Amino acid sequence: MKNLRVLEEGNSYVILGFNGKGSDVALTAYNKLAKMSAETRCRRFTLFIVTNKPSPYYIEDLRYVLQNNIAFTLVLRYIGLDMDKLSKIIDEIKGSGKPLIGVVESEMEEVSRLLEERQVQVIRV
Amino acid sequence: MGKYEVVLTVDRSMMSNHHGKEFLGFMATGPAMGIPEKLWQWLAAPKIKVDSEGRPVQAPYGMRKVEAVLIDAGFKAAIIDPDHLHKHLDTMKVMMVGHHDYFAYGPPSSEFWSMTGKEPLNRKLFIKFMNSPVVRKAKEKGVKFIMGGPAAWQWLWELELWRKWGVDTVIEGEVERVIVDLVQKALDGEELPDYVYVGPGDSPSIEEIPVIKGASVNGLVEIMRGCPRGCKFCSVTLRPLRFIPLEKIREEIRVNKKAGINGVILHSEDVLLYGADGIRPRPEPLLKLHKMVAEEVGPKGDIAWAHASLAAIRYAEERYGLVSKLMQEHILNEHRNLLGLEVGIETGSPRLAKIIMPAKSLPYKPEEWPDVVEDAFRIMHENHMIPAATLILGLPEEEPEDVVKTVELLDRLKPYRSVIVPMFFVPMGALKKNTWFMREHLKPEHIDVLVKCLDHSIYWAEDIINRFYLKEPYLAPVRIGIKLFLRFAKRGLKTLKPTLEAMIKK
Repeated sequence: MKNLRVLEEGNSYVILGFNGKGSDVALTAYNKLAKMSAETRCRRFTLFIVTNKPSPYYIEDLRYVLQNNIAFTLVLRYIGLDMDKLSKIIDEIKGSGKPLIGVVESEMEEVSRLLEERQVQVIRV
Repeated sequence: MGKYEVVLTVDRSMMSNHHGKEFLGFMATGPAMGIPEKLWQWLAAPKIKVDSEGRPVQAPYGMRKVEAVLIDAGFKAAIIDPDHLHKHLDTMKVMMVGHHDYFAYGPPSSEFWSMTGKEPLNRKLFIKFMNSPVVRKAKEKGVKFIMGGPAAWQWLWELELWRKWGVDTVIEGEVERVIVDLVQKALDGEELPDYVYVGPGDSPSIEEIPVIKGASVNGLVEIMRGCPRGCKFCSVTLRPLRFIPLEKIREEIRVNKKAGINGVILHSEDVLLYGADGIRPRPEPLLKLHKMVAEEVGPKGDIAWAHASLAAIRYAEERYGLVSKLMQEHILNEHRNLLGLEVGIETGSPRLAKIIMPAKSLPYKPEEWPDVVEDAFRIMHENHMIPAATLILGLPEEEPEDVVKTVELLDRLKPYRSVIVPMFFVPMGALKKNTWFMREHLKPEHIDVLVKCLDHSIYWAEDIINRFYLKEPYLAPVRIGIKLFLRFAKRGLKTLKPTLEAMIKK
């Protein structure tokens, strides 16, 4: 994956994993972004979406957060349930040294495990 | 054989100069009323002149900015009229669309939709455009679709169509700093993000905002970005305040003049805050700006303002006599007998003003809001400024007493030449279900406001047309069409109140 210039430079990454509780995950993630931003002054976030919902329908779960965000640059990238792709992306981000966290629905154990195996902080929702 | 790999385009509701009269463009935000749809469409959005490649002589300003950024970056990019897209099917790799109101969810489209129960023209034309054979063919050929502009947010509510039409990326915000890389990635076949929101921290600097390369619709030229009012709910206010230097404004006016447009619409959230000290207008930058504009367009060129705030109008006049000075010294003459602009009243209730827009009345207190509005209207009337004003009804915290205050304010505004458009606060869900929102949410106290607004607007619209507007001989057919519509509206006015009252009794 090639990053976008400017928008994905000096950014932080969040893996959002959800099937049924997307809006809870999105809200938790947004609160976390706000905290991270206050601590690190980072205003750019790339959200990777791990979900069983096809693109772009998953956006329905994120709509509230997206519509209410006026402060941060956000980039949404879709992964679906491709765990190989997810693993590759996590490794790439870890290799870049940029901040990465996961906000994952508690039922999506595989996603949480993948992240934790790579020492990524996971917030379970 | 085309030559552009990046094509910027949009449906007819936007790709038009509205007969050179910006206000007529608002007709595209409603469904046809009282006259056939084809005539309505011709009045609102006639076809625009194009060159042999299908490049329009005038195009929406935002698209012109993106076009300029892409050309400066070395792309083969151009704005193409929707009727001429087929000329570029063989070369097009990226199609970019910008829109003010893709699906008619913005004001005043949503109000027309909710009041009439009929889909507005802009929505119909956009859907027709996306379903057109040429756009479908482009998608089949693998052309990447990038959707942007001020209404990009509406895609979040149209996921079915997003999927059906194969939209690749939706991008919101000021894109000058970031669009080149996104388009390059699309051309290179890289994986694109579904959605991008460009936050205020990534807004372009003055230096990064290019001068347009082709003419904008009716000579619209941006004079500033951002707003210093600091309303908590608004993203514009978070963005850095940037005043476009006079030289850049002059350059753009000259681009427009070269294309035969001898007129300027000064675009800003609040024209009187150009070069201002916070929310207080300052004479010097405004006088310099208008002097330059008047010199550039000459005595016969049109001058209009996109928006101004009522508080700034009152302050500028009371403190400096500035509105009269601008009008007398630089705008009005034997050829220019009016200045059109948009203003927001929103409510006549100081209580509600305090809740929904505490900063809008600054430097005056929200308690003074009705006086601020009336004084500003008087100042505009005395100076031949004709405002198209908006009101918002049905806000979540609105009480019947607030609406009564709005009715009282409308009575006070009766003597002042203006058009007042009531808008309903319409929850998105209601529009999505295509329900007749008004039938379910109209309250008795709203009826007085609706009737008074229509009465006021018809009275003054006739006066404006008889005394100021559409005087050019070539616009005679447009004048007839508008008069037909006004006649229909006048007839409707007689039955509006009992019809609405019967509706809410059901």
